[in-house]
Amino acid sequence: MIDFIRKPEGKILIVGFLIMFLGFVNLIFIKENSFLSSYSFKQFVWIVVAVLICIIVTRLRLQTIKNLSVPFYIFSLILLIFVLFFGQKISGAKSWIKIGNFMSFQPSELVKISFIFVIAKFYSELGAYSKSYLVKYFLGISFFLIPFALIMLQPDLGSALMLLVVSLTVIISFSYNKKVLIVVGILMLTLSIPIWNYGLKDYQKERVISFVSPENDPSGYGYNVIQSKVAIGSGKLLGKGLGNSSQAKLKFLPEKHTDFAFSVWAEQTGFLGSIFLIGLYSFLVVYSLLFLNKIKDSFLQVLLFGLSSYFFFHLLINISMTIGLFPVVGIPLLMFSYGGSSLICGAIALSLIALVVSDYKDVNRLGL
Amino acid sequence: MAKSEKSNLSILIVSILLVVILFRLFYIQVINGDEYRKISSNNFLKEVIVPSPRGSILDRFGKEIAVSEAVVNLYYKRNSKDDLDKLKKFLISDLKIKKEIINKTVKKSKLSNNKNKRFILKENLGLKNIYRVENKLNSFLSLELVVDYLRVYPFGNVGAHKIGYLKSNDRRDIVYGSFLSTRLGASGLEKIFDKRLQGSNGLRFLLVDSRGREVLSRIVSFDKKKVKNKAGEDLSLTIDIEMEKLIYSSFGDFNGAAMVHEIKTGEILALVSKPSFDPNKFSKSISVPEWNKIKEKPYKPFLNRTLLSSNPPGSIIKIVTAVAALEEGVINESTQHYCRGYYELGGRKFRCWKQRGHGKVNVVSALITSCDVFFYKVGLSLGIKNYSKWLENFGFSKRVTLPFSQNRGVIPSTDFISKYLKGKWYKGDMVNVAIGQGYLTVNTVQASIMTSIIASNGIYPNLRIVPGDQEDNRTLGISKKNLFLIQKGLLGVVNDRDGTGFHARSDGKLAGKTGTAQVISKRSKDYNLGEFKNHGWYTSYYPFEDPKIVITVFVENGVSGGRSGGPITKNIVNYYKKNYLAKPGEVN
Repeated sequence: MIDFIRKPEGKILIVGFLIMFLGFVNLIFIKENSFLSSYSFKQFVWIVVAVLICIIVTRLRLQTIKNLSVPFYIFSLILLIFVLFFGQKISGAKSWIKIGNFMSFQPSELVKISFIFVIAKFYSELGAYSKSYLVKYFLGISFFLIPFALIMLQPDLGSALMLLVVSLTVIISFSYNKKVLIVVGILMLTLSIPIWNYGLKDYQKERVISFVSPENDPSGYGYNVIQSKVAIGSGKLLGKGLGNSSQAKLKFLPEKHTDFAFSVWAEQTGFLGSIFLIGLYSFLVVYSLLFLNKIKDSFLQVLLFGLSSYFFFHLLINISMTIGLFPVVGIPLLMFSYGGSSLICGAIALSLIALVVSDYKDVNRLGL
Repeated sequence: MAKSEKSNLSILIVSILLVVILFRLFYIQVINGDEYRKISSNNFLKEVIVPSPRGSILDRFGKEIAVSEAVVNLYYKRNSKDDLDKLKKFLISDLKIKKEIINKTVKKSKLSNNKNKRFILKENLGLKNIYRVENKLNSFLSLELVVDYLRVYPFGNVGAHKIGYLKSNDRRDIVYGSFLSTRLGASGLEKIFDKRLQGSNGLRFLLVDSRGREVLSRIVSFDKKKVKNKAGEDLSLTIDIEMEKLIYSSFGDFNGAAMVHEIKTGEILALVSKPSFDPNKFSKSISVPEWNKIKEKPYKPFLNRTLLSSNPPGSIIKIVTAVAALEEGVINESTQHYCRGYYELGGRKFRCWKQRGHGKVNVVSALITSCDVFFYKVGLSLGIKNYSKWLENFGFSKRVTLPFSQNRGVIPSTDFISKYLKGKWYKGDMVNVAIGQGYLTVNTVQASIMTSIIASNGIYPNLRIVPGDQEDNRTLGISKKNLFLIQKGLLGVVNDRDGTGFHARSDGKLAGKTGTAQVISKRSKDYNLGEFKNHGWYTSYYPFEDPKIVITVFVENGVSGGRSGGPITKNIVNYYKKNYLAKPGEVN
């Protein structure tokens, strides 16, 4: 066991499992009537599946993963198209595939990872630091635009935004060039006007407006943020103690299981608890980034960078949402919030990071 | 960019962003933690409803037919800190609220699931009472003043059928119960345009303490978080409410219906049904005895007689009989028949209304004198197929293009005959329908359309009550020559020495036709109106040379159309002359 902890992949996996466990504990203390039909029970099942996935993925060869990149990407695109036709509509967005009566899955979660795969694969083939940045921009943006458009059709603003942020970070970091950056920036700005006018649903606009100016808050979305801030703030330094989340119990907090799970946690465990949870995520991100310097293979570099930014932006945006630094766009805290799709995808990302940091020196296993 | 640089740069960016978040968390949880803790434990957010007014209904000159008036209501929410005896004393002696109402309200509010509910104590507090309560709001925490909107119909009964009234909304507010301003349109235009007229309630969030009082917090300004209320849209009509008022009063003791419309635009100026009801009574919840009182009134006050009451047209239908006969070539302007006061058919005498007879008549003089015998003969040679075709051309038995429920009436078409008369149609039936009796019923709007077609040289009017885009008018294709004959007849009806419509005669520019529909009903006996009090029709257009409006008056049990409908028509014409045709400065 101690040996396992000493290994880089051990540290990564244990921190990841700890986050899942804390998320589960947090769910349990949002009082439910019966465990078997509750969110916590469903989440428990998902955690078991997630752990199994971690075990399987960490036993794969990196070469296999590289070979699977393109099929994986295409598979997730097919799911995205499928969901547009046969998906379930939950709170205005057609983004769920029903699995039996018990569970459902969100393909938009999957595509966030598979994009990182495919971009890593093609960038490595071009050479991570080659001068062919125009090709890279072109490839990156086209790989990103297809799933982005499909997600906007659902429409799921949160996932689309997350994909946008992660993709752009990866694309810009690995095809850095000032001129192109400026052109892309101008393009984005000009595109954002028609997207705002025609691409966004009214309720999505309202959310953004409610963030920018709470006075113009036609549907009371700012109200959610106030409740979230009251919950977090009332936790003070040490928290109210587990199970004492009055804001959550009294149903003051909306989406307390998913988007605002952190608020419940912060109310119960206070500033110290919040720091601890954020610390776990920060460790995951920073620790993975530290390996970037050591890795020679460009596929692994892009993959690792992409996956850690995947973790980082979920953390950043979700928590900013709950403390009123960012509009409420529906982004979960990976592996902590309730929800199978984000948990499974988080687990895949987690185990891949573990795999990369454990095997980065083993050039043979990658088959180079 | 070098490799190590990238790794360090990204770690730097990550760290900066994380520090921002941690600072923010520190600020919320540690620096402002006490304040938030207080909010979460002692205080709670209260949603305050901000009701919004329903849109007004306006007449063509912007006069208000239905408006929402702001009222202030007094609500009660139990608060144990109040001295109940003192409160009761205040409510009874100062506000004159009945003791039983107070006791009932207090009792209701004590039930466990009514903890946060408000109960209405008094609706529509006057200004004096509002001041009285405001002074006491600090000493009686269980009292609350809330603004609401009451629907007011300044013209009451006039035109109430088409305007409609409101009914209670099933969606009650959890805290306040039902609001007057969220009541729904129950009938008429209030119902048809309900969505447009309805506003949406606003919400305001207040931070209140356990005593229900507003708390000001330095961290969160809750007053900013509000959902704006939106007033409903106004609805402008083509109606002239003052004209309707005049018509309503002109009916005197009679009941019936009247319609006035502009020929060119199809805009309806007046659509009146009498007796009527007071829609103001339904702006608040109505008590059962009061409802029964309204319901049990004689003469069916809720029946919209302009569209839902279909009656035999009597002699006004001779207009169609004449047009059909002329157009089908059965008669021409010089065709003459002799009226002896009756017409014998198969051994049965069909009487003319004038026992002495009219002597020699042609189509124009037959219209003027409303000679029955002439039209008996014309009807027989015309035949039922041709006749019902023309009735249909004029729009009888068809829905009119107004958004109200209506009784289309019947005409003796081939379908009708085979369906209800086993295909048997006798000559006796034919002579009857030719003068507007028998198997023929029409409503007031349909009669107006008929007259409009004559006045406009054959154009079917596009009736409207809400101004809208002008559609293309449909032309019936009646020859100018024949139309002129009919028009000449109608002018004579009002202005000739022998004309039946002389009761409305004034400046010689009115043209029209009277009609008397025979009713032999048990009901007229019940109403003590005598056994054979017939319904009267008077349909006309004005002015003759350049027709502008059509006026149709239907008087229930009005003895004869000329006598009962004539004076009403005359009043309308005078009103129209004064208000529409008079040039500025000119005094009529």
